[in-house]
Amino acid sequence: MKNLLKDSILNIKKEKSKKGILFSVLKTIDEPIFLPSFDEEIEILLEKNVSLHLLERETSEKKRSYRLKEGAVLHHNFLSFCEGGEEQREILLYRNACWEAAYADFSFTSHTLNINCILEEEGAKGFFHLSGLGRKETKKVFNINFIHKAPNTESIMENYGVVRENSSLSFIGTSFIQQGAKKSKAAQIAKIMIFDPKCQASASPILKIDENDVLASHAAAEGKINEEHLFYLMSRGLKEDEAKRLITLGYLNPITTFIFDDEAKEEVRKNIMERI
Amino acid sequence: MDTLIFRNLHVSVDGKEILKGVNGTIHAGETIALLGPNGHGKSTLLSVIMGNPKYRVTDGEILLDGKNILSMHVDERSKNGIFLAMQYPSEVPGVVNADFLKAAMNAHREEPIKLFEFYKEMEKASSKMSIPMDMATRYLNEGFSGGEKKRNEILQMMLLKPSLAMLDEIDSGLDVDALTMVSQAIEEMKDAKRSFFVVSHYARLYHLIHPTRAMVMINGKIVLDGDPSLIERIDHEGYEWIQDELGIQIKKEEMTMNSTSIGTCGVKESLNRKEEK
Repeated sequence: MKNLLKDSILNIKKEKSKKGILFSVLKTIDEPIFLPSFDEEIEILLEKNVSLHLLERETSEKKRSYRLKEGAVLHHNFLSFCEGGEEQREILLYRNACWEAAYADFSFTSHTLNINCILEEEGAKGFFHLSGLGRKETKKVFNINFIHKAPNTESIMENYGVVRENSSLSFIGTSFIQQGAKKSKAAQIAKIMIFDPKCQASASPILKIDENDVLASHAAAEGKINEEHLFYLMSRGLKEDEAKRLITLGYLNPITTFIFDDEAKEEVRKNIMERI
Repeated sequence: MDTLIFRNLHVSVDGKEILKGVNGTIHAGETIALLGPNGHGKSTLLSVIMGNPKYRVTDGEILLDGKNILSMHVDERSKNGIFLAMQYPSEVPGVVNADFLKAAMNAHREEPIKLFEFYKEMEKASSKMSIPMDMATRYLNEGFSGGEKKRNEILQMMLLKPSLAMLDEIDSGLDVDALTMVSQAIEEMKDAKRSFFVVSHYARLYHLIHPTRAMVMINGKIVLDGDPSLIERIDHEGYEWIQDELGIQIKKEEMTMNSTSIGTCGVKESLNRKEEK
């Protein structure tokens, strides 16, 4: 996989900007591109109707922003297995642009992620899928905002998490449909499975709606493992630990559906297996 | 399994007694029909034998070949040959059907099953139950129709080969063809060492699987234990005659409303503390 910072990639223009580095993607790139951690702010611009698969492996404390022009599509994977810190991401979507993101966080370090996705023009779509694990003493906060500014925009957020030991996990999702964003759709699901007596979980899928003609839904659930599911699996001979493990895997594994790179997908599976 | 005996079984759920001294014996090779009006404890008895922790056994014992299984975990009961095809099988999101089946089969074996052997067995059972192989890659029972769920239960029974298969309203939600398919699978699995304990409201299933005995449960007790002619009589006359002949007042099923909760929408927060005992 080519490295956005180190390799020279055909159809990606790199230039210095006021804040850091600006990468302009001029044409669709078929192979996935890797963006590592970096000390400067990074801005990525997808030109009209361009498509890009972008993989970010380590967290970066410097702000990163992404601008998708008309009809552009960004398939965006974030994998976090070791680094912690606070991340800030801004995504700006123009007419009919689409941002499809999956975030797999199985690190053993505390972590805060702030994402603002602005659906600036008509027909823009944003999808965010998260699978997160809290272990040991870690504190993880995921603050995800979708702001609908134009009609016929759509956002879907699905946040799934598991907390164990003394860790804490917080999902704060906000879908804000502004006045004039008619016929927009927003949906949020936030679910956290709690394993141990001292861990903490908080799931807040918030809807702010300033327009009448919209479709919006939100759901939150947190609790212990479903006793009926456990009984069902154990009634087929699975030991309690094994049944719990299978159910937990089932909770976190679906994120792999959204990981586009096979190697990364396998790495996520391996980390889920090893770390739960 | 040679025998399963339940003796003076008293069972409560949420403080309400459902089984009020149930007695019965299942011998190897028998197919027993368990009948009774709705809400009188048939499913509870099956769940208790399987070990559902929702139910509290307040008195009595369940002996599998002389060994009290009440102290056994659910998985141990399964490994001892007990199987329950559930009336409402759980949908378990994210758990892939094939992964679950393989884990279940491995739980009943000393050595893990080889992948090729597993697929061969699964293909054979799936084909018998007319379950497309792509269902193996779907999540366990999620999005399955009522009939698919029931056929998936029978598929599991075929793969796990229990010595006591308890089938709780396995015919509900099945069309005529699927009912024939399920009953054929049951018939083919019958042997001198395997027993079936089958709950159904309809004689149609019983006609296809030929029970050797019938039990009738009323008001949380088995009030009749006899030959299969009981099935025909109940099918034609209902349960009223039992009331008259045995002098038992049959309690009507209680219709209760679900509890309602009013709270803030969409926000969940908990500081998980140790529950006070």
